Amino acid sequence: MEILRAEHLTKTYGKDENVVAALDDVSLSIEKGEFVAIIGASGSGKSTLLHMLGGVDRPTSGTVLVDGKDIFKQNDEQLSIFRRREIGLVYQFFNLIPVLTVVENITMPVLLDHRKVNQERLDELLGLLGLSEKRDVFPNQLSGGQQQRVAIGRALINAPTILLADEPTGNLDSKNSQEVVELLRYSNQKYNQTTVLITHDENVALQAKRIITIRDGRIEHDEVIRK
Amino acid sequence: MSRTPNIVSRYAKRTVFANKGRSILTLIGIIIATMMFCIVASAHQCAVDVLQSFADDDYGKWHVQAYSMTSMDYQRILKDDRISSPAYIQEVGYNPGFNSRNGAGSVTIPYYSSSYKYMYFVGAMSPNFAELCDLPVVLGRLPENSSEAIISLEMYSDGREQFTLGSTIRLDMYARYSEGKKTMNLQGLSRDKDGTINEELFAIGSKEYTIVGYFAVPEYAKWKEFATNTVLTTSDDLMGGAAVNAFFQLSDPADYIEFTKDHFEHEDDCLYNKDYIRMENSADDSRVHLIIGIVSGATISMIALLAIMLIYNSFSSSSAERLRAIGLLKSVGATRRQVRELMFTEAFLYSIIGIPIGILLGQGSSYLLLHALSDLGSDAGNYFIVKSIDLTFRVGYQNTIGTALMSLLTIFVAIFLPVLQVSRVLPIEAVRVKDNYGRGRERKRTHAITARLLGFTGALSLKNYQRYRKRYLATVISIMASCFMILFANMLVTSVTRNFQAEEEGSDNVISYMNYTGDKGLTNEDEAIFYELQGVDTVTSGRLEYEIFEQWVEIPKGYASSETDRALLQPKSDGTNDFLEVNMVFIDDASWRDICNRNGIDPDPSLSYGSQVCLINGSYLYYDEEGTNLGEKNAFSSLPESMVLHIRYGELDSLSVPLVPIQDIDLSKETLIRDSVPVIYVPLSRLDYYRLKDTPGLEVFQYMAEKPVSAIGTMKEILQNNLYLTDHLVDMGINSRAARAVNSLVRIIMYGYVAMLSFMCFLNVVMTVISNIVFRRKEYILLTAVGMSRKTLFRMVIFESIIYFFESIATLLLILYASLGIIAVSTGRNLTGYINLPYFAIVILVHLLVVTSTTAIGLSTTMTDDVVEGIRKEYY
Ligand SMILES: Nc1ncnc2c1ncn2[C@@H]1O[C@H](COP(=O)(O)OP(=O)(O)O)[C@@H](O)[C@H]1O
Ligand SMILES: [Mg+2]
Repeated sequence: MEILRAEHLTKTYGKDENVVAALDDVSLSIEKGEFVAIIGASGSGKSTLLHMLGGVDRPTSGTVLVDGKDIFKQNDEQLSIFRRREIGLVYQFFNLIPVLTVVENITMPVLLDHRKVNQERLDELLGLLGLSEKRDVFPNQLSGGQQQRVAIGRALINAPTILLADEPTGNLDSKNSQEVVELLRYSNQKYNQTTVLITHDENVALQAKRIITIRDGRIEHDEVIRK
Repeated sequence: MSRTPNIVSRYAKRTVFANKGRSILTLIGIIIATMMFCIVASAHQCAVDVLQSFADDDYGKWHVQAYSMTSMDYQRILKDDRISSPAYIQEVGYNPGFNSRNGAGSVTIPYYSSSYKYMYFVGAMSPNFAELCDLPVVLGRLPENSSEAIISLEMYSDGREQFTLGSTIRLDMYARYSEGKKTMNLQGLSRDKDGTINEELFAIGSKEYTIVGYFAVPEYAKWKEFATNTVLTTSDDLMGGAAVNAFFQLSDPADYIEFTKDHFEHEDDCLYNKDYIRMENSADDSRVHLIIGIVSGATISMIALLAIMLIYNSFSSSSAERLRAIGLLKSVGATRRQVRELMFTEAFLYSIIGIPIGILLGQGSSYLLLHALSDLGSDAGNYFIVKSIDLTFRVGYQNTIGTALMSLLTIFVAIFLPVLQVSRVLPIEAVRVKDNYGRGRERKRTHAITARLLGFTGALSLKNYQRYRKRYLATVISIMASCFMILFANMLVTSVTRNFQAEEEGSDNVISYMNYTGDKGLTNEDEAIFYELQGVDTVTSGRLEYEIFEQWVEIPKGYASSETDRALLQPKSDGTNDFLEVNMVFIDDASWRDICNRNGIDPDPSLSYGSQVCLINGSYLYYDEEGTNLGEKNAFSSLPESMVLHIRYGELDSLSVPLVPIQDIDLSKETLIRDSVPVIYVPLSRLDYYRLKDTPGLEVFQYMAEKPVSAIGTMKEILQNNLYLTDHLVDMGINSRAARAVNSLVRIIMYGYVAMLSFMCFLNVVMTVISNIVFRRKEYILLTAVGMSRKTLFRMVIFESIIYFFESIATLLLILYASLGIIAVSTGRNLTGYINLPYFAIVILVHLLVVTSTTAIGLSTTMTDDVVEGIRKEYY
């Protein structure tokens, strides 16, 4: 079942002679439960693509359909609600609000939605993330890997339609990186969580089921490496 | 837990507590602003109260008054339902005051003088009259039935008749008729066109009243409403026939003109209580309220402006620092409303802590201020009006709510822009690598010369400064505004206090007592009172003067040389000599001796017949033909060798006493009681000799006291058994003391205001300076991480602060002098003189000090962590 579809996505920055096309007519389709890795050189447009897919930034032209719905046809308010309900985001840096505790950071999308936190799911997630002991700890008391796990927890708490992660391991050592990837794979398997992961790291990419290679804002390769 | 926790407000709370420095500065700003709003509101309230009380006291609470109306007309008008409360005085009759000194014992109705009507008016008050018209009862009480009466205070001391409390007076009553019609013309006697009096009196029997009290003639009644010689009794019912002087209070004061038109033919038939109407703020002319309003408004606006700047800076720098966090919040799905909510919650937190504290402090200090005010004077009140201000502090709920609303408004105006900016933050901000500010578009190259001149750090500072120019704008504006505000406030204070410097000199310690004696003249009892009062604590000296008017001095014919001198003289019928009208002032013997000794005159202790007395030149104010005041001059440039004094009053018709004039001394300096009529000073022991003891006159006691207020208190106690006399006891220093009290009060208040404003200005500067440092903390940490020494870093940052400081001052000077120039060109007025340059320099220096020291302190507190810890913290 197709869950995400991007059609002729283009994003340009700058004006006149300084125009840079960060994304140049990109189309792709992602099935529910897929684990996709996006790779490419720095500056090739991976992050830009991810921001379009997550409704974080608007494309210059083209559409993004999630569950068949054009997300950019929504107004700002609707888009915000879409993001907190349907999208889980993990960035490389600055993923957490420093003055909120681990639990508060994780449950943020639920609370922003004025819904009650499903304590069972929270406890399960915390267990899965290995953060059960750190519930009420503030981010600056955590290691980089732990922080990234909190961000993943926050992305997963709502059981989003799509989880988007932009180089979540870029800032971590190999042990921590592996843990984070394991986590993403586990959630992909256990919850059938559609996951799109940007990475630099070949080893990380190879753990995905499909790899999309981007170059100069265009898709260069798109291959399924395992079923 | 049933409710979902509000993550937005939790975030807001944590932010406020996490950023302690800024939060406290902001909070202090809000507290001070609220406090000052509260003080201004209290002061405003107080001013309005005082005005209102003036209105009530001086004018009564009526709106329209009609005099000389028939009782039938009155009853007809009463049916008008616009009247909320009516009152009246009904004519009972007139007594020509045959025994009154003012009446001069004449049987015919005497002439109408400008100051008194020499006739007693007897009126009956309606039961509510005293209340509605605010009749000030000085002593005793109001009459309770038609055989009791309250009389005007003036009636006690009119010279002949003695109306003591509790005594019974019997008055022959007359009705006044003019051209066959009854008249109630309270302003004077009915006259024909040529000025001849056409009034007749018809006896209507006599009445007896027990005097139960004295009233002071109310301000509004001085002329028109009733004469000073008024006897008021009371009656429950309107009597048919007799004329009525009616007072109406209307439910809606704005109706006063309509009301008058409906009931009276001429507007002249009525009198409006304009001052009261104005005070009620319902007449068109409410300038006083407008002025008070403008002053309060201006005061409040300045505070509000500063508070807005402070809060704005706080919020905008806090949101600039949190740009990423807010972007993150948005990318995980916070809506614009939720982001706005975040800011509002923070504002709400500040409000809920700051406003109540501010109001409490404000009301506390208002209370203390007003307390100090009323302590310093009931005196201070005397500066503005004759009576003391009753300053009352009221914790009005309007005041409290008004202050709270004003503070809320200030806060919400201040955060309006930051909220707008924040709600527009895009989710993508969460991942923007570069800071929003200082994205150096054009690379500025530092010239080699500058680099050499400033050294490496200097050049670096300059570069940084250029790069973060936009960021420093808030600081630059804050410094400018701060300097300007402090300068401006000081200018205001100087111009205000200048007006209060004039009346500082004066007879601070003089207490005087003045009283017209009756027929009994200066009694031994009066003399005894004088000496008793002189014995009061802290009284250092006293003088008794007894002044008898209208005596005549015979001056040799042809003495007066000038035209003005001659005009003062009355020719004697036989053409031999001239007469000069003089007043005789008898001075107690001790003071007499004192004066003589001081002027080298033989006080002549024997004081026998023919001994020296002094004839003093009376001084006059001279005017030229155009009416310009030429100043005070002595009436006579020289005086004859000897003169004869003719005694007019007393048992002797005429006693001739030879006088030896003493021209060289200026006794006018010796006394405060001056008159334009020349005065003869005589020792008091001569009073008997001239047989003038029983002559009515003005007795004046004058004392110097170290502590006039307590002395006058004791004196009043001593005079308790003679209560109406206390009313004549005057603290002469009250004005100069009041002027000083007001002066120091004005200073305290104004400087307090300036201090508060300055404090808020500095808060603002400190806030923006610290924000700059916090904002660039990461950069500083990185600089130390790559090997810049702390010393170099400090030097660099402080250098930067000095650069933007001078930018602010330069801009300020430019704007200031440019606007002065524009004013000078357009209006021709040179205002540069208003700028106190040394003060200006000090203000600038203090700012420099504040900026650099805040920078240093701020930097050293943010840079205490070791580098690794610093980087770690920076990310989260
Ligand atoms: N806000 C921006 N303004 C201008 N150019 C941008 C902006 N964001 C990205 N770019 C440019 O778009 C291109 C793609 O960037 P990005 O998607 O971040 O690459 P990647 O994530 O693959 O490293 C780059 O050339 C980058 O310089
Ligand atoms: Mg990227």
